[in-house]
Amino acid sequence: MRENLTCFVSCLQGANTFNFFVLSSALIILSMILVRKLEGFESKLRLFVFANISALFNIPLVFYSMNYTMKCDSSLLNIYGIYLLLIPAVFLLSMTLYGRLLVRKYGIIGSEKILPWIGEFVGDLVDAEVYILNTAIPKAFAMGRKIFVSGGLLEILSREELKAVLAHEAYHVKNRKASLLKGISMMTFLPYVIGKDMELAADEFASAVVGREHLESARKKLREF
Amino acid sequence: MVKKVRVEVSGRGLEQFFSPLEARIMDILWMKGKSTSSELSKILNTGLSSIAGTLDRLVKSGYVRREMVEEGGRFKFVYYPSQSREEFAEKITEKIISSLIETFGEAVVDSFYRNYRGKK
Repeated sequence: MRENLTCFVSCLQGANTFNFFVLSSALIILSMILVRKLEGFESKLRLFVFANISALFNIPLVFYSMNYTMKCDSSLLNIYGIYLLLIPAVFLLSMTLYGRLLVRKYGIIGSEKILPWIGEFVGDLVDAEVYILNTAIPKAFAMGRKIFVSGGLLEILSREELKAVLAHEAYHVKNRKASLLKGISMMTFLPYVIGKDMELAADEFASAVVGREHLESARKKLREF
Repeated sequence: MVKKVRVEVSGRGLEQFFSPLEARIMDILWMKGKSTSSELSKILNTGLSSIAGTLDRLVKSGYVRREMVEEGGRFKFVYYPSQSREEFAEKITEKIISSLIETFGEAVVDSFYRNYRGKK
């Protein structure tokens, strides 16, 4: 292990990339510490993106350096390389497959017929399609440009509470690019620390659209179901 | 081992084909003709989440169907039994008799003829 590490360092030094590697690693660590300290979702998100992009840039650098001198055992690195190629494929596949799985499991109720105003309300916020899952258990989530709510959710929530939930999900559709970060953080091994902030930001957005009290009462009903 | 067989399609007898909660829900739906999850929850004094999960299961297995209706700006699933108690009983009887015939052949038909001839 220790030998591997010194070999790794000498490889980077041999390829003249050592200084750059140390500098960018320090920046990544610093940003990850700052992400936890910072207030405000936007700045957190920016810093987290920066850390991940920097980490992604380090990857070809390391591959280049290890192959430049050819002295070191790079079998571990090659396994990581295969992992890197697999992650985007698996991530994208699971996104589409999971949606289809749910639709097949529960079935869809024709939403246009039942709730024309749902489409209108969501359409004013974001360009998304709304699907109503045929289950009595309340559920709501967004996936890509699709928003899923269940018949059970429509049963227990008032119109205003339902709007709060839809606005929350609409925020996720608006910021769907941020969900790519989850995949990227799986590649860079940087912990996905913005998940909770993302939910809070979605709640803020929903509160701004329909009022906090409706969001709170919807949350309460869902908790007590 | 000799097993005692007893089939009865009412009250607790339904639990041969359904779980206890499923059986109680089916009983109410057959009695009332239709119901909603909140009504069933009140009548059976059972939490809404177990009622909802059980209704999902009954819908999936085809014993119950549901429609979404609007009622004063709110949306509700209304649940109906997909077949009457009599239809259900007939299907079960059919199933049991055909499995009896499969096992014992003509003896079953003979027995039915002797025991139920002329009876209604």
